[in-house]
Amino acid sequence: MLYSPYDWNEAIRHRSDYIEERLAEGSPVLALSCAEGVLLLTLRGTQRKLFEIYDRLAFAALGQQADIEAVRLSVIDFSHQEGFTRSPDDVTVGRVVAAVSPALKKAFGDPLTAPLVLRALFAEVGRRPDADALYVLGYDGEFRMSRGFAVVAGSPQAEERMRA
Amino acid sequence: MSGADRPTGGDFLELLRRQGHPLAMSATGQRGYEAPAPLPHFPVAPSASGVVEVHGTTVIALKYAGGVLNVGDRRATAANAVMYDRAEKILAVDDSTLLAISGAYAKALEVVRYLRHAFNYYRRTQLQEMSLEGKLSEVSRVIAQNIASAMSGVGAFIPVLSVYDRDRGEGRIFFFDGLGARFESAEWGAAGSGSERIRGAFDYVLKTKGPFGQRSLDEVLGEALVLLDIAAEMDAATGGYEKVLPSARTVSAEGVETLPEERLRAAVERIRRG
Repeated sequence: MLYSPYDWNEAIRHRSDYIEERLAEGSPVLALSCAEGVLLLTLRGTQRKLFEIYDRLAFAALGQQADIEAVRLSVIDFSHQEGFTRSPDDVTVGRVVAAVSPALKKAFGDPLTAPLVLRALFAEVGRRPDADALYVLGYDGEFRMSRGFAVVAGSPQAEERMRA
Repeated sequence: MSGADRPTGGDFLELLRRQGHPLAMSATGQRGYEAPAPLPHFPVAPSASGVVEVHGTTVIALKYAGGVLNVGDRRATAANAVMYDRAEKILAVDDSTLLAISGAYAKALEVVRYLRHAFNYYRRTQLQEMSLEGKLSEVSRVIAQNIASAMSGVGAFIPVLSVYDRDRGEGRIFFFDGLGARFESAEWGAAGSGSERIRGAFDYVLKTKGPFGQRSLDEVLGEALVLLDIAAEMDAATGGYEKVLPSARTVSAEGVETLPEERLRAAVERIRRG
């Protein structure tokens, strides 16, 4: 299949619209760094959204269950393999997110496969509260790190409102 | 997304095997915990490998009212040399499981590291705790897969597993043979070179003072230290409590706890006063 630049942009936009539509209803997840660790909060509707990944790593996501499960298992596999062959100290949230990001990007950009429908949040409890690291990972593989506070919600507008 | 295509079902060994991890591959390339088989044409005898292994020696598990106490001396030996007098042989695998290790120290530590990951991996992927039966099978499996290596004279180890069984509300002790067979013990378990020489002493204490499982932790701690001291006198590879205090941990409804040195020192004092 050959794409003209126009087709490519159009195809990506359609995929993006398709995913955003499905994410719009998702209930948000909040992450807050505090003295005791990282607090993850969500409104539990019908499905479980907060998960343990590794000794100091947690994962939360909204989206389609099968896709959340795929990413969850994939990062648990990566973490345990790394933690066993090297050391638990080498399993950091940055490595975990970077490891899963290319697969998401690939699925999103590949017109022959279904993209993953999810927006994910990763939290790592540091040795001190200011060392806690929070990552938000999008369905297109893009991620950003923040400290202290992070949020994922169904739409960018909702996220903006929660941040305010 | 390899995890999603073919879920491992929470089996950590399977995950390692897929990555081609040497620990998960046997010499024939089949699934197995053990790495290389002995080299061909070498006589199969402990000295043949040219490796002098570091061994952990005596570990003791005793029930007490409320859970199970594990006590181990701190000595690790290689042939007749004392390699290390701060070896930690009582290891927590998870919040309700203690593994007391004897035999090849390197292999035993590796197995504990493996089990910790295997239990956690199962719990995190499957979103439920591995059952006690499942955990016991996993321990049997790693012992069984170590047979070829143990036969060639390297890496034999024997653990004693202590758990707190929440369904029954009591501590339980399991011991294993070199092939991975599992046995449950009513009152006590012991492993290591020193334990062989004091087996009869356990029964003597049981018959004269009643079941360990009905006595207080401090009483049972005293018994464990005396038994360890006897083992140290009978077995050169076992350190007692004179030079370095043994390590002692409990597993109970509250989880795994390490007994502080002061408590051990007080128990030793009581023994000395007689």
